[in-house]
Amino acid sequence: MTSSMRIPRVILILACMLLPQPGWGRVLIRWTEPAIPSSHALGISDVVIDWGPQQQALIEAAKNKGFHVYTEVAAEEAHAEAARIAREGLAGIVVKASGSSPAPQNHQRLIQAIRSAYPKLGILLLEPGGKQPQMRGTMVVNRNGILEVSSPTRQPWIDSNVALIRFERVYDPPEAPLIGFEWNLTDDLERKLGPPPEDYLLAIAEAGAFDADLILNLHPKLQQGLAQGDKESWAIWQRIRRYIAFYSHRRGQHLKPLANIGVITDDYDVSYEAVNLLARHNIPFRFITPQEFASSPVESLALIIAWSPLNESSARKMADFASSGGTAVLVGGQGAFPWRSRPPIRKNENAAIYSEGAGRIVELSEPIVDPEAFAQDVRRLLKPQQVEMSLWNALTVLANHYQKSGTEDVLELVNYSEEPLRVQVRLKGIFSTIRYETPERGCCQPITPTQDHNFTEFIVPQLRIGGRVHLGRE
Amino acid sequence: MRWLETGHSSLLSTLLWLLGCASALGAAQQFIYKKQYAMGTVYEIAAYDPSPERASKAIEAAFHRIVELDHMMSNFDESSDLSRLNRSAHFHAEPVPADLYRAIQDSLIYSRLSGGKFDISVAPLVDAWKAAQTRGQPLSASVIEKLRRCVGYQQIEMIPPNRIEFHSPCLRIDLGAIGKGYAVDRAAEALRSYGLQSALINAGGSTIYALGAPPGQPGWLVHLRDPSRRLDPTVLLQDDSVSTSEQNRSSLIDPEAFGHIINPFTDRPVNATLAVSVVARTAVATDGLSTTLFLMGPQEGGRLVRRLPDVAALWVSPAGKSNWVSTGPQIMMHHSAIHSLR
Repeated sequence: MTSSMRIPRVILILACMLLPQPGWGRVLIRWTEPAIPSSHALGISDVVIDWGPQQQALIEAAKNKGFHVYTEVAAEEAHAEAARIAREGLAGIVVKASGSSPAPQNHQRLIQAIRSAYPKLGILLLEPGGKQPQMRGTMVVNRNGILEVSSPTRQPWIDSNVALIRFERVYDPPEAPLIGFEWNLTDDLERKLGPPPEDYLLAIAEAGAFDADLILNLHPKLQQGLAQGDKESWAIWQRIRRYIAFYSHRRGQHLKPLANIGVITDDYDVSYEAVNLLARHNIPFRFITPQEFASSPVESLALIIAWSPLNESSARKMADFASSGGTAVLVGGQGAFPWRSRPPIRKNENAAIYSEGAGRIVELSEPIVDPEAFAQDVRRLLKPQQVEMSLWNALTVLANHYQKSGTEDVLELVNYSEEPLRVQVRLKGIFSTIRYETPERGCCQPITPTQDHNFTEFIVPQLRIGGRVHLGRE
Repeated sequence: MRWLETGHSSLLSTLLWLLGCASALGAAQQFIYKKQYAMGTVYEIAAYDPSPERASKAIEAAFHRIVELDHMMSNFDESSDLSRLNRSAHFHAEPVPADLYRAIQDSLIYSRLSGGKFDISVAPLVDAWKAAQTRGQPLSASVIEKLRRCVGYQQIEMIPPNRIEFHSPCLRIDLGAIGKGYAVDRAAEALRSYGLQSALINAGGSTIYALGAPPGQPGWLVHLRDPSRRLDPTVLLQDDSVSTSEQNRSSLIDPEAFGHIINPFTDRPVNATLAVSVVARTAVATDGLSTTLFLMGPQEGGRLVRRLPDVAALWVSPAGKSNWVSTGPQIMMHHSAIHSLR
């Protein structure tokens, strides 16, 4: 019997109540090693443990040590396994969606059905397609010893989950998407020792900054070290824990990102590369389903990019949007569009541009051969006063601008290079007070802004991995 | 980041073929890989060594050197030595650190070799074109004329051992077209000082230096940039370097949109679609020469290469037309072999 099992149950219950409750910015730790420290010591409440007879002892130990234990189950088996998991007293199921890219429409019904049948079980959906957030080099090493050097972009290549998270948000707005990934350990030393601590912090920062929940795989070496009380492992864990705490501040809230670019698509794979590059260039966008486009107002948008085919009424709506000053970009559009009755004002092998009232419609051939150039085109198509956010000295930084309240906005910054950067920011809007906080230095350092017409500029003094800027309006 | 504005040679698409290495390594050689962001790009070092701990320390030392040079040569960082020089060396000899002096001295070699087509003083024009690109409008003739007076490598005076003076009131230096190469060479020195004998240093894909060869291999096989995707040229590197320059495509909508490489003779972004790859003994040479030869083109550039020892250059057009000149290194067309590998 372990020592924690001798602790009176009432104390454990109280401890669990004091531990963080599920919400946004939630991090679940995947545990695979036989020994596990207590939930109290780790300061987290949720662990994911593989389901199986050989894991029974670990699951029991984790429960006894105060954890809410989740177990991962394939979507096809989730309903059948739910009864057994509920009987075992586990906190919930992580349903691993099938396929290689998100298909939220297909899985929501399944999740709802399991929730209805087992209301006490927490049911989380882990979408496929999550990747280790990282600044990528151009060398790729595979198991055959081949190193490949290539890159589709001119800037440092960043692997991020931002496009995936935003796509998920469209289909299930109240739920934070749950992402997870396998570590990409490239050499013998990393495979032996695990990823650098900064990589854990980056994963937490990305999920937290872009409003997702995260399953974080701890390397076996770190798990063993924590279980054995190894000082170095616990020092790493304290850094991880600080990041988890930093990004748990928004629990229970869903802050809507500010974006004046709409992306109409119902096919993640088709639009992924280009949308990923929009995110990469910090061009604020939000996904719109074709149905939402047909039924909702779009006046707040400055530019709409459509990957999905437009039916007659949607084409009319797009023409109206352009007539009133908007810019529409159609990728591979097929159809007898009304604007095609006039010749384009400009045409080349990739694009035709039509003038439409006060705005314009750009038709691009499909596929987009150069997503980097496309992202730059999108930024150039915006009028200067429509550019919501600009960053300098920030080639490895992704940012997310939220409106928190009528008087405060929040800018989340994530630096994928994990090297300190001095980032220059220009945001649309007048903000009189700027405060900067980081997991490392806490809250808050005042920053002096400058105002230029309807824009505010300031410099973030040091962004290592994660940072948050509080922007106060008068 | 200013480094990116000019230092962004186009990407080098390479494949380093190490088939058979894994079996040849056994337990003796272990593979170590690390990356580091500096100078607006990602530096990567892959190494083979019996001691992964030693290799790891050596790579950290190499990265430390690169970051040190980034702080010294950054145009974005106002506190960098280069920024200080750019502020205060007009008609006044300013002392600079040895690395900065040497990097500028090396740059001037390529300026002289190219008759001024490679020019580190082109920064005012590059910055102005960059701003114009953001606005989506080209620079006016009057603005170009005004900035033209600020450009000219002949106005940079090197005063040994460590002072530099600008003979122009508005000259500024940007080492973006050569700084990465200089940093790669210093990183290679750092690796050697730790006793490493097999490593590859990659600066964002545009400049690569090979130290020794992978275990059991004659060299590091690198695939060169091929905008035509037909030729698949390769080079086997061993204690030498390759760099590629290519004008970036910047727009799908506007074919007239300008790229990042400025021709000091026309004061405008180069309207060329060729990719040029250069092989030479040092990374500073390949980095400097790749931009130089890109600006010169295959005819004039070919004549220059023939005057230089141990240099090879390959120009490839999107249509698959190629020009190749060499005074030593061999560039191979391994089209069919590589396809069979894949």
